Amino acid sequence: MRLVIDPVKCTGCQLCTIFCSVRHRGLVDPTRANIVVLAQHRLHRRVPFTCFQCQDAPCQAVCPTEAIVRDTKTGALVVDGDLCTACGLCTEECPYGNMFLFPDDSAATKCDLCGGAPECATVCPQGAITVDDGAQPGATADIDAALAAARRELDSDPIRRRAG
Amino acid sequence: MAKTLYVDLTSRAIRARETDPELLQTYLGGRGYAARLLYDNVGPEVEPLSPENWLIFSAGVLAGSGWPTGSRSCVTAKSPATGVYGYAHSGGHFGPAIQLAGYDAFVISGRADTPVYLLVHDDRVEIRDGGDLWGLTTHEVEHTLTHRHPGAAVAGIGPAGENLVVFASVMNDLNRAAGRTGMGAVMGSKNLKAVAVIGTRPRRLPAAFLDLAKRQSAYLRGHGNLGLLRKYGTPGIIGPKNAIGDLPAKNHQLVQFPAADRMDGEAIAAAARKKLACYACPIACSRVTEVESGLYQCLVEGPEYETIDSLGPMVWNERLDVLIYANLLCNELGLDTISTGVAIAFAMELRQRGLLDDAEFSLEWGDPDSIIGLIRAIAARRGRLGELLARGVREAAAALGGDAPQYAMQVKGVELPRQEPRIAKTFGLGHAVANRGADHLYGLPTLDLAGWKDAAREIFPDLYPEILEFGNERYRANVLVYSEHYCAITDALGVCKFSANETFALMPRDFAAALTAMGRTFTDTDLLLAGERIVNLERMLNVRQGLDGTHDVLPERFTREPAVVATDGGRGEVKHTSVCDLPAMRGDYYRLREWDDHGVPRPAKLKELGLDG
Repeated sequence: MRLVIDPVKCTGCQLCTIFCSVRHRGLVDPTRANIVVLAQHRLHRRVPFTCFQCQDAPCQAVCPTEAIVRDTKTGALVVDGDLCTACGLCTEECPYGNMFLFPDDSAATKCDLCGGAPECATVCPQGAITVDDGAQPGATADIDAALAAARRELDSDPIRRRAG
Repeated sequence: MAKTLYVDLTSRAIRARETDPELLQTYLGGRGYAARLLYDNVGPEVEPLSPENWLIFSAGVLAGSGWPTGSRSCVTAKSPATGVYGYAHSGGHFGPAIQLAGYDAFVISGRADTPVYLLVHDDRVEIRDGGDLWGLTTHEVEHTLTHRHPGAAVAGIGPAGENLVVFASVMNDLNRAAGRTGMGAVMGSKNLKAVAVIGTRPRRLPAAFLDLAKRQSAYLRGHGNLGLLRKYGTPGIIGPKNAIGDLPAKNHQLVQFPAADRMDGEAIAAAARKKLACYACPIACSRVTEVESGLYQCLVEGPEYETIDSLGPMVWNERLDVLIYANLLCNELGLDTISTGVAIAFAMELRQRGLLDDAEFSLEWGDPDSIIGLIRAIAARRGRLGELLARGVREAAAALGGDAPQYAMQVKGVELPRQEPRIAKTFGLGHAVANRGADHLYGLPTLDLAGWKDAAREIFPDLYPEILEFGNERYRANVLVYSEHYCAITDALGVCKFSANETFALMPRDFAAALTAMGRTFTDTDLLLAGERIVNLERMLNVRQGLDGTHDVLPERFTREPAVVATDGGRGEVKHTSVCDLPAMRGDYYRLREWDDHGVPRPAKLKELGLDG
């Protein structure tokens, strides 16, 4: 399973971050959600951004207690709270900033695809976040290539050139 | 429990106190809470631009809660435009930040001796030097402060607020305007350039509330009454309004605009590059439009309906590129688009009638140089006309004398919003009686104008179907009274009227259910009573300063000159003409409200509402 994100459809409403935090923390706590909405204000762009569940995950590789495990049903990488020591190495190793360790938390947090029914996709009113059930996690090299392509597309956007 | 933050800019004292829960129960929060604070602390003798005025930023409890469209906040103060009660509200993401930082309101008093900005990061509050920000546009300020304080929501003023233009706005999220009644001027008078808020405190809300919020969000997502807003945003109403003669043009000399299709829903959709939404909103009515090339090349979130009519038909501007650019310029300079457009239209009509001319501006109807030039001149208070119009059309007309006041489209010192009182009669009544001056959002009486039959049948079973006849003065007061109470509710709770008052997708009982699920006991009757209490309190704030029914008037154009409505969006044959019988509706309104013939709440009514203390 993989989240499919279409930034063109994202309106920046934050329902994903709100209900991710409700689902995982039982609180309205959007600044501690496992998904963020990146904003490029001058161009009015909004991009929901969360874990790619990498095939060759650097977070999993660096974890000293093997606390990051693959959920075989969903393909998601999940933090085992009992094994995690909150050392924070994973947050330094993730190249995309998708591992979190907040002050006062006893374990690292990340997107876990909600066990198979991702809350963000459920609440998104615009269809900017959808679920591809059959997709497999990608390798970081492929993810890097996709992000670079997205960056190039962004840089070549005529609106960007004019708005400066 | 959330807190109220008190900042005195003169002494630079900062303190936070738990908000009195009794006040939140009685006045709900947001606009209602701020009105009570203003009434209790800013007396009749206080000058609006003096240090003694209070500037209150408040957000209702549903703002930033996850409740769909819970995004709104309010800015309240004594208004320099009216001299009495003033407030403005806006959407975006600023209101939620206030609640997520742990506050119901920021109360700002005094005046800083040098320019400052306020930084609120949860419990950490600082008054920071704003010397490098003074003179910047609202966009420059926001970009600077969000870069300096990542994650901050910013509300700020532009040069217009610094120059105390009487209709200066407070802008947040770049293009979201708390526009009306000159709150930006009050902020400028305090040397306060911006408020930056970072809110990271979790809100512990009951699971029952969060479940309800999630279900209501899904419900609104698919609701039929929201179709037009989802598809076109507010520009979608341009075509229908033009057809019935509710698209004021040439300073209300006309009520239709033949070039309306150049700036209607489809035209804006063609110019749109992006849809944006406010916090927790599943509707996403907002559009970012672009002018790709030429003198007016730009990108802006907007224009909304009110701006389109203000800077389009009202000034006889047929050009979409000029309109979009004018919108952006007003936002950057921190000017309310409604008042700005009405002020320019006032000047243009005076020139038409030979009562005004100007060396710098031609003031010919639709002249882009006059429109864009006057926006800049007003914000800077530069030149004879810039300085004159910066005082608002009431004062400008008084200064010019002669027949000029006849052409000043204002009530109580606030420029008229963009409904045609002779056609949309409930709005006409609403503009006359609203306690913050001419105001379309004080009542937003769409029940009859938009023809929401199910809601009308439910709310007024004994007056159906006559209650829907918006062109007939009878029963308009009934619609308005209910609408004003419902608007007070949504403003006090911090939700967007598009989910509620504008469309009746949600009813007061839905908000009662929301508050009950939060652990506060409310029925819909309780809420409507709280709404009535808020309106009466605001009325008494004005009555205390000598306002009464003699101020609940409309410019004579609306009661004396018939509006002419033609077929084919104004291009065809005359269909009918109409005036507004304001006195009849006003009499009904006072009677329904149990106010005396002078528009003053009777003692029995004040006692019933607990306002007789």
